[in-house]
Amino acid sequence: MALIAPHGASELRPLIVNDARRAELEAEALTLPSMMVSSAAAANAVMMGAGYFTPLRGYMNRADALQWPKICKPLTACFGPFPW
Amino acid sequence: MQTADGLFWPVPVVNLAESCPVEAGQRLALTDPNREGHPLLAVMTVDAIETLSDDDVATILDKVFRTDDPEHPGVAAFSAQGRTVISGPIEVLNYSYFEEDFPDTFRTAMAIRAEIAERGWERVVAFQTRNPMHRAHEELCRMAMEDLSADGVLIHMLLGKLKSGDIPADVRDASIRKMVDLYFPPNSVMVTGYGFDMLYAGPREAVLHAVFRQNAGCTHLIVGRDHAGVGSYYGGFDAQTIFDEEVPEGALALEIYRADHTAFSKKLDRVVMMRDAPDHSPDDFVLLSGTKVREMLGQGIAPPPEFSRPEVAEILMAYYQEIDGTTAS
Repeated sequence: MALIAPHGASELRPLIVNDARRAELEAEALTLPSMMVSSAAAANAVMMGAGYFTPLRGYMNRADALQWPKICKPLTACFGPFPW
Repeated sequence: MQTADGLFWPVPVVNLAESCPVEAGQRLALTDPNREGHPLLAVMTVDAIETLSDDDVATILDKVFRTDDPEHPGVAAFSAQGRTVISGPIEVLNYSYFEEDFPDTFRTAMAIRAEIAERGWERVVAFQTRNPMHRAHEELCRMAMEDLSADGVLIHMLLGKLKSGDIPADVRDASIRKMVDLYFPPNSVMVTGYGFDMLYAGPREAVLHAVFRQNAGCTHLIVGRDHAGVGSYYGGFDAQTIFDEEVPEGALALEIYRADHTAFSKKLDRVVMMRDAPDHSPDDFVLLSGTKVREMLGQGIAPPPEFSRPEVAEILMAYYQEIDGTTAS
């Protein structure tokens, strides 16, 4: 029985890492500059980690953040058939 | 990012800050504002560092929230962030406080999909809530299930930090699980939750809800009156009509189940969708305000069974009486 396909992808793309990668990142982070993110940005990270925001790969840039409202009017003209 | 390639995505997913401590191309550790000691949450490769102009902010507020009123909680939260847009791919180390604080309820989209498959469901209706469920909500889930010939309902709770007046997660969960155990057939309901900061963006948030329920394996989402709204910023059915007006055809595989308020009809002796009872006056329904229900529960008075299942009321009364420091005689 096939479940409904994820959004914009054939399978979920959770951004959570496995234990081995987590250990690498924890070590790397000790050498990196760090910033405490806003609660909203943290919530976005959790949703991307948990697969809910598939297929996003990370935080959007300015153009992406503005695109749907700004460019796509009417929206159907901007988004043709989906390639996935 | 795929959004530039034409991916449909309803809200900006951004990391906004006052400034960025690294340059584009460098790696950056992101720490968690919501946990003690601010542990590492994610590591990012910074692709670009840009600034939102006043026009950009105005556009985002208008399109996402349909208002720039600083009193709107979503507008306030957005505006309290900086204007620096730090973009790029991330790797996530943990689910912040959600796993620890809500171990019985927090689920990833992966876990929900796996459980749906294991249960052998195909048509699954998602129900969004952050509150205990009374008869009206219970019957709404049942109506949606029947109308859609669905195999099951995913009760999907928004989990987050408590605000004053919120019912704690364990009490809310216990009351919902009790309702499911007693009043739904076996293998027809999953009780789960997800961790997010509510935007209060009404219609636009309803579309986001649809996207991530599809990712969780649901075929339908119940969208009722004023879904994800706040105050009187949005029209009663804006969160439904946005799917006709602003979501490109074919962009979502999930469909919405359009609901109205539900309430118990004294005339018909059952819970009905109010739009299906145009001959009714408000007096024909069993209606109680949230404030009234809270008051009754605190005094140890169970709301009428047409409004709350007695077993649900019992759990909520026990909680409120405890925090009110009173005992029912």
